[in-house]
Amino acid sequence: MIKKNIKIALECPVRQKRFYIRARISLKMDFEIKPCRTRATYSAKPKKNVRLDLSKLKDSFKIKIETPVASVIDADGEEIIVHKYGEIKFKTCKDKDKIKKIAEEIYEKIAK
Amino acid sequence: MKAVLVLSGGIDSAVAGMIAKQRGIEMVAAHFSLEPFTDNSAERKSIKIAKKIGIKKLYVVKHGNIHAEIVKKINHKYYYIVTRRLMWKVAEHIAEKEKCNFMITGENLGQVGSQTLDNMAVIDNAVKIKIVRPVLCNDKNETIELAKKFGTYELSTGPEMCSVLGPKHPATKSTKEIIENEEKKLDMKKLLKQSIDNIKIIRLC
Repeated sequence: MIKKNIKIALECPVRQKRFYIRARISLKMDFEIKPCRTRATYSAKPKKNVRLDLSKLKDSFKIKIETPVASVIDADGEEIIVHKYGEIKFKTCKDKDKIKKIAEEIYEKIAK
Repeated sequence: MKAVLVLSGGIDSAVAGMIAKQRGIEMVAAHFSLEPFTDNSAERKSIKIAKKIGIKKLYVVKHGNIHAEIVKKINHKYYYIVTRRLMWKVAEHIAEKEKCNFMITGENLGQVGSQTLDNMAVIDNAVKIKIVRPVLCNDKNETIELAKKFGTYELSTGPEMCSVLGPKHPATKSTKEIIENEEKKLDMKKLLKQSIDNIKIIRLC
């Protein structure tokens, strides 16, 4: 899920003026899973530009190594590289269902 | 003549090594592994390529944690330049140990954003050892043809997990002053020592 701030315009029947309310909505992350260029690994890539908050990873996953650009984590027994621009690389996992489940969990927890 | 060949596992450095071999140059190889930010496929490819070239000793330098340290502190666009300067220093150390006269790389002018003439000059400045670049001005297709001719193409193009630490837009024009200022944010002596301590030697038959 990606959380987005939106502004909704409404008409006030009393004062005959337009006013705005702010809301925070959650959208399901749309991503694809495919082998990388050299077919060494599978990766999940969001279809739209997205930024991930890597600092939030430590709340839900075991961090192996952390940098501002990418972090290596352990999720469900798999070693995974999470890039701040949204790409998630699976070092050894070839099970697409497992990849989808882990990627959804990561996006839900750390997408900005 | 003896040289240290910096071997990435890709097409260019393998061809550079084969050209040097044809000239009768004795070589040892150095491979910089970016694990845990990649898997060990590049290292496995480097072993196969080194064997193909006829190299008997491969130095594998585990550099992933060191690159992570660098990425945390410097301006990200200079990542390739700063990391390469450190790698060249490690290669220079290996060259001294192995009594090599020079080092060989597969660098190719303008092939990637970071391999510009300005950047290469700044990278070279980090070391005293002479650097030979046999494929410097080759067209990529030319190098691919050579790789096929030498029999290294299939080895170089096998599966490999790409590193994710590089910037989207690397600096193409750097100066010695800028890079030395970036390096002041790091303890370069400590990183060099760590790199040397992380060397694993693989003897190839």
